[in-house]
Parts: sequence; structure tokens; C-alpha cells
Amino acid sequence: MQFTVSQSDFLETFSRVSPAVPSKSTLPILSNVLLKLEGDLLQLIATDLELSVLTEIKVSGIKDGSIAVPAKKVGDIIRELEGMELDFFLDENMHMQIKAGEGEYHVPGISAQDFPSLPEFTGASNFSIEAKRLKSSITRTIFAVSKDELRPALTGVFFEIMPQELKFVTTDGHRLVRIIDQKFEYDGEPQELIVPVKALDMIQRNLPEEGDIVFSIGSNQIMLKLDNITIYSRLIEGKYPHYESVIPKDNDSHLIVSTELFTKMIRRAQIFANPISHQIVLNISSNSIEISAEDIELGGRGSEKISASFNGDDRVVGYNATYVLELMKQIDTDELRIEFGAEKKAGIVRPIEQKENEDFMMLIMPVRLN
Amino acid sequence: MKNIEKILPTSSIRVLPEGIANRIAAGEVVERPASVAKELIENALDAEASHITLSVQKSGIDEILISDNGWGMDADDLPLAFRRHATSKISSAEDLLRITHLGFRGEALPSIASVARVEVISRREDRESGVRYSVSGGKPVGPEPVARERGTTVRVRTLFYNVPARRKFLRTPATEYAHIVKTFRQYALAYPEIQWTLIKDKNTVWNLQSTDLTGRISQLFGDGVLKDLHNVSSGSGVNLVEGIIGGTNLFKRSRGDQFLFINRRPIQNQSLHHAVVNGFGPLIHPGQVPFYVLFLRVDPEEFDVNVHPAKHEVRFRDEGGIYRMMLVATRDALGQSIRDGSAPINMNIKENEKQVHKTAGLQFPKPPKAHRVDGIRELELLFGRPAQDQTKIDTIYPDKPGKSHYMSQEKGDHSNVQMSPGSGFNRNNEAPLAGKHDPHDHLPLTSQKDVKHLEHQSLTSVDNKLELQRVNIWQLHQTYILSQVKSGLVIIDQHVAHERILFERALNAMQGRQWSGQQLLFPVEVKLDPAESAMMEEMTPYLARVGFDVEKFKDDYWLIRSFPSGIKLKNEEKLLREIIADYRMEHALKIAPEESVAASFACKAAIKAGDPLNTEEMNALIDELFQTQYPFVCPHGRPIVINLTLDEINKLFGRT
Repeated sequence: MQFTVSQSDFLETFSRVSPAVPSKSTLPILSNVLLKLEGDLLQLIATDLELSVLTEIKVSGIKDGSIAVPAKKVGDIIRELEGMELDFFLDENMHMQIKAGEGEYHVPGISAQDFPSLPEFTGASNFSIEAKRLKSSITRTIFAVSKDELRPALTGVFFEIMPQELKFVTTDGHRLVRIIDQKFEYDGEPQELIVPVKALDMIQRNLPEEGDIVFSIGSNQIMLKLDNITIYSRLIEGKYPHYESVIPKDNDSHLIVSTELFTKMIRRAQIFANPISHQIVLNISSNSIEISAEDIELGGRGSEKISASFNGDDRVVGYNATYVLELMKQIDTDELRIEFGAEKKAGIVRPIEQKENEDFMMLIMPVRLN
Repeated sequence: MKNIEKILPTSSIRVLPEGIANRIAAGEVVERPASVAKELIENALDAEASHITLSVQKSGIDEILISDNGWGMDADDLPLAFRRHATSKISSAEDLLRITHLGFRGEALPSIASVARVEVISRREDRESGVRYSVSGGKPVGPEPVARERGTTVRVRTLFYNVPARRKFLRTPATEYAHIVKTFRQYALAYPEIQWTLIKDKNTVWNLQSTDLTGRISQLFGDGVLKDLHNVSSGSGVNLVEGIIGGTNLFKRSRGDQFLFINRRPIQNQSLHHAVVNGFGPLIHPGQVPFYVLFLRVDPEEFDVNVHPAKHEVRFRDEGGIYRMMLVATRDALGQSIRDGSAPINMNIKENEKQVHKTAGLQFPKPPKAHRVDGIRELELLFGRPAQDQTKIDTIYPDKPGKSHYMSQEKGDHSNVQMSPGSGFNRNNEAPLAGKHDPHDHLPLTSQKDVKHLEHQSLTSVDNKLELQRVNIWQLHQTYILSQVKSGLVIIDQHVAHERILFERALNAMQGRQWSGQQLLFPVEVKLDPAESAMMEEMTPYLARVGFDVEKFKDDYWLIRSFPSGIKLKNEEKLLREIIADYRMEHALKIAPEESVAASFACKAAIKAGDPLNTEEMNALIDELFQTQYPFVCPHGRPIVINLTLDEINKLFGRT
């Protein structure tokens, strides 16, 4: 195996697959990137067995062949050879020799046979979605994914694929985010997928600015062919909780408040909250809202009041400030609306105005106050 | 025996001849060689000796020899000393109520002389030579002049030679020697400023140079114990308790290393021992005995030692008050004192001192700084340690017996356990006003000038240490938190640290403000077995106080609707099952349900070894840890914080 390639081209391609390389793995081979040369086409493949990525680059091929090379070492040296022409040559000892100018670097490789092969993808159905909309939906939902590995279903983003709409749902048991994308066409059987966070991160990195993206759904896996990378991911098995039943239907006390002021107030109050519980208290009346926090253990308290409009009876409700702030970040309208219902039930947070063809809402569970 | 035979047939009531009376008294005072040693040691102490040597042959059965460098006696005193009730120490019945000497009954020498061969050599400093006087089989020999330095030597040989029954009942030499050692240690601890020598069969066992209490403890028990000693100093009114208690590392399974003194007289009192044990609260388990050397200073009018000739039993006028004082003192030492690196704040302390000095007239030795204390104070300065309120202390360790240690509403007499509110630094600034800067200096600290001086010192030292506030903090193997402090290195076990935090918060929640519960979007359904379900019904109200909203909805199916806020969301169902299982075990130990729930919850909900923590989380953990009452021991008695001093580390590397 022998080829030459410019450092910048190689590095750019290499950096696209290397995030899929697991930082820690029980299988040492997975810390490698597989290089496969056929003619002038070099393929780079990385996998952690859940997520696999494949990308290609044009090189000046001299001799075909394949080898797995350690991702970190190769990445590190290539990064240091800025602007140079690189000569790759695989010697009979399975060492990849990289020559650049006067430098010569030998990296021990592992036989390509030992590298896990890409999943066999037997495509079943497809759907397509505008890249921009996909990106925005993933960004606004992924933060609420659970990190509890004992409940794997909650550790991914739930995709509910229907003929006229695509729903994105995430929850960690304390918060829930749901986006319904109504600018959506799909003519297959309705589908439900739980896509792991790592796959979505990889998709986000490589989404183009414009155009449509095609998801291919296989048995328990998905594949996306993007412009310069193909991403395969296993889906999370298990049943997603019946989330619709926990979305209150009768939250008719509405609070409307400035997103910016509300956010800043909470940030200030949080400083005085207990560092473990982050508990803040909202004291809401018809024309104002007071936010306060007090740390019984460590001492100190703060409170602040702003005007707001509220159509319900006065109420006091407690929240984890960290949770609320994360919700605020997802709202890009000047004002937001919180809809309250029964005590102990979830509050619904929405932007004051929905985007076109979209329904976006977030739920937050209160803290029972003492 | 001859006398009795003569008396009995002829008359029914007679005044006993002095020899018989002495032998009866000896039966009370002289039980075994150790009691001889005790009586003679007390005489030497009353003679204000600065070096006392105790030498025994065959565990004291063959010979007990006490030699001191005290006042000494002259030819006129000596024969009198062998007369019953001859004492230089009290002269009237009124004096009996205000006993400040150790020996006072005038029984010791005549009693001993009635059951052993006794020889005394003594010299008063103002006499030209010493004198020898001996009594053997009731017959005096001497006094005759002999050469001797100032002081007294008493040699007691063939104990119980004339009381075969007593001699027969002596235990093995090993046991008798153990009693001698115990007696020797008691007095050596009570009088660390005195040099003590113990010789066994001509071999020197101990030669203890004059030192202070901590020094004496290390002489007797080894340097190893120093790491886990905590100063005790507490009291109100005229009563005071001072000394040292050992931490959880020094727990033993058997009695023996507990030393209690009243006005420096060794005493045994089951009730006060219990007070100390109770002061450890949940840190001590049944069957464990703490190490302590405690000195009660009580107005002599407040207690009576004249209960038994051997004087080791004491009656108090206000035993309940003394009990509470001991209990509170122990708690303080374990909780607040350790963290402050000093004695608890006691606004009345100077007043106490005056009265104690006046009444007891004893000079209490100044113990040196226990070295771990400095590291800990430093630690607190580093990590900061904000306010605490009085209620917290009261609710966690109230006094009321019978009910739980934790739950009682009763405040008890805590006037001496004031904690200042305010920031950690305010606390330290206030400290010197209460003599808190150096707990060991508080006794001599009487003048306003001294106080001002110390105040100034304290402020500047706090300022210097403040610069160290931002130090690095590391996690080791996702199990321990490491941080540099000025004195060396501290290592914190993350699991037990968190367990301690949760345990105390849970206990607080049981009593006061309830722990808020984070409501769950998806209530968790748990199927319990019938036994678990029954347990659960019992636990529900207590679980609610720590933020669990659990509800039975059919048969043995339960719903968890909320979870204590601030606890990282894990598997609620698993957690609940673990808590039930743990509760069952605790419950079997007959621990109150609220405590059991708190303990089980704390243990199971705490972060585990292997949980990664970021810097912010580690800092928060440490902040909270130092808010707790007992930041150094987990609810099961394991250490939470280990302080490795630079000296210790240097030693490991062979740097000296």
C-alpha cells in the first residue's frame, strides 16, 4: 500500500472519522482507523461497534492495500506536518511509513482483517428532512436526554415518524422536550426510532447548510449518506415511555414573561441556591413574578421581582434552576409562556410564537416545596 | 488472732484493740498489692513529690517499694504516721466536706502495717539526716538515724503474711501486676508534670519524664494514638471537664483504657462512662469502648468520695448535671472542636476558671497542640466553612434519653455549646474573645491584655492562610478527593463524605424542614414482596420527609412520584429496594425508624466509589462536608478525611 496526499486534505478527512474512535475501549483494535486504498480512492473507516463512519478521499495511489493505524498517533503527527506533501508507504512489517520533507515516521499498523467490518445494511424504508430543520430540532432536544444507563431508552432522541409529521422527543424524567415538525412527508408505515446521542453528534458535525438529508432505516439501525461521510448507527432497543400521557392537557394558568429578563433573574438567584439541589422558588401573581433562592445549609439568599402577566391564581412553585436555564436556552423568542396546571404536575414552557410548521414545547417537573 | 480468742468468751461488746481495728480497716483499704501501691502513691503526691518511683517484686506480693522526693517526715512524725487516723491532712469534721487531698483518712500506713512488714525511711529537708522506722508483726523498730536525701521511701514486704485467707485469694502474679500497672497509669496520667518510674523485678518498665497530658499519653500508649486524640474542654458554672478523648480509630472491644478523674483523683463511675459513650452518638457501636482521659473539676462540696475507704466511688449532688456536661463535652470534642481546631466557644470560660481555681486549687497541665488539629483548621480555612445554626446542633444531638439520640426536641443545657452564626471567617475572628485561639492556653488566659494580643495574632494568621484558598483538587481513581493543604495532604473518601452529608441532611429533614422532592414525569412503579411492602408502609412517612413521595396503589405495587432533589437521578427503583433492604437490617438493631431511614438513604443514595466528579462537584462536596457535625467520621465510624502531614510523607521518603 502506497500513496501520496496533501497534508491538509488528509487531515480534513481524517478528522471527520476520528471522533467516532472510542476514547476508551476494551477492544484495542477500535482505537485504530482503517485505511483502504483502491486506485486513487482512499477509504477511512472508524467504529465503536455502535457507531461506524466511512469517508473517502482522492489521493495519488501507487499501490493498493489496507491497514488499520492508531488514530491518535496518526492524527497527532499529521497535524504537525502543516502544508507538506505526505508519502504513505506500508512496509512488509506492517509499519506505515509516513514521509514528509526530511521527516520519516513509522507507525505500527494492525492487519485490516482484524478490523470489524462495516455493518451489513439492508435498507428498508427512507425518509428525508431538510438539513437545517434537522439540525435545529436535534439541538433543541438533545440537552434533555437522560444519562441514566440503567434506562437506556431515555439516553437517545426518540423519533416518531408519521405520514405528515416527524416528532422529536427527549426526556430525563424531570424534563421533556417535544418538537413536532409538520413540514414533513413520509409514505411508509409509521416508525419509531431511538437514536443514540453519539450518532446525532456525528450527524450534527457533518450536516450541510442546505439541502435534504436521507435517513435509511434498517433492522435496528440507521444509515445516513451525507456529502462527505456515511454514518451507520445502531438504534437503542427498548420501549420509549408513553410520553403523551404525561403532557398536561389542562394547564390553563398562563405566565408570559420576557425570556431575557427571566433568564438573567434565574441566573442571579441560582447563585444563592443550594449548590446541590439548585432549588429556586417562583412566586407568581397576576402582574409580577418573584424569584428567590435560599441555601439553608450554607447560608445566603437572594430574590428579585419583575413584571409579568399571569392569568391564574397566585401560586408558588419550586424548580431546579439548572433545569430551567437549560430550557431557556432553547427559546429564541423575546417572550416565553409557561403554562401551569395542578400542583405537582408538569409546567409547560413554550416560545411565545411557534416557528412555521412546527410545534415546540418543553415540560418541567416542579420540586415539591417543604 | 490471739486477742480475739481472749475477748470473745467473756464479753459481748468491747472496744477493739487497735491492732484488730487496723486489720479490719485493712480489709477495706488493702485488697491487693495494687491498693497498697495506690495508698502509698497518694501519700507521695500529698507530700508534693516531683518524682515518684514504684518498684515491685513478684507483682508486689513479695515487695512494694515507693520512693519519692517529697517533704519527708522526721523522727517525731514517723511513729505517728503508723497510728490510725493520724493524718496531717485534715483536722476537723468541717474539713471532711472540703477534701482536697488525696489521702485523708489516716488509715493507709497503719492498715498496711497491720497486714505486712513495713519499713519507712524518710528525711525532711530541714533535718540533718533521715530516719528509719519499721513495724513488723505489730512491733515498732526505731526511729533510728540513717542517711537519705529529702523524701520518703516506704517498703512493704510479704503482704498478707499474717492473713493467710487474703494471701490465698490473691490472683496470679500476672493479674496482680496488671492491677499495679493500671494504678500506676492512672496516677501517671493524672499527674503528667511528675516524673514517674515503674520497676518490675529490678527492670525499669517505664521512666516517664515530666511532660503534659498529651505527652504522657504518648509515653504510655505510643505515638500512634496521637493522630486520633481530641481535646475536651467544656463545662458551665463551677463544674468543668477537660482532657482528651480518642477518636473512632481507638475504639476497643474491652474496657481498660478509660481514665476518669475527679479533681485528679481516679474514680470509677458507670454512669459517667455511659455519658462519654453516649457522646459518641451513632459513631460508636454496641460493644465498642472509647479511649479517654478525662478530668472532672467539681467543687469538693458537690460530691462525696468518702463513700468507701478506697475512695474510688464517688457520689454527686447533681449527677444528672455532671452526666450532661460529660455528654456535651464529648460531642463537642468530636464535632465542633475537631473542625475548629480548638475548644468550643464558651463565653463563660474565664469565670469558670476562676472558680475552679479557687475551689479546687489544682494546676491542670497544659496539653500541647494535638498535631492533627492544625491541619484540620487549615483545611477549613481553605475550603471555607460558613454558618451553622444552633438549632441544627440541638436537633441532631439532643440530650433526651430513651427516645432517639437525634430526634428529641429537648434542648438540654447547651449554654456552653454556642456556635456563632456568620461566615467561617467571622467565626475565627470571634474565636479569641472566647479564648478559642489556642484552646490549651485558655486556662491561664485571664487578663484583657492577653485576650487582645491573641485576637490580633489570630486575625493575622487567618489572613495568611486565606491566600491558600484556591488550591488544586484532584480525584484519585474516581474514589478519593485529594488536595494540598499547608500541613501536607488531605485525602477524602468521596462516598463516605457524601454519605455523611446526606445522613445529617436527612436527620435534619426528619425533624425540621423537609427535604424537597423533585417530581417525576414518569412515576416509577415498584412491585415489592409482602414483607418489603410492610416495611415500606412503616417507612413511608419518613421517606416523605427526605423527599420521596411513595404511594401504594394496589396490593404490593408502589409508585414513586418524587425523589429527593439534588440527588443525581439514578435508578429510583433500585435505590428504593436497597433502602428497604438496608432498613430491614438497621431495623433489626432496634434503631429508631427515622434514623434507620436516614442511614439507609444516606448510604444508598450517596455517590459511590467509581463515580467521576468534576472540580465544581468536588468543591461543593467539600463545602457541604464541612457543614456537617462530624465531617471526619462516616455514620458507620469509618474515617472520611485523612490528613497526611508533610512530616509523615517526608518520613516515608526517608527524608528526616
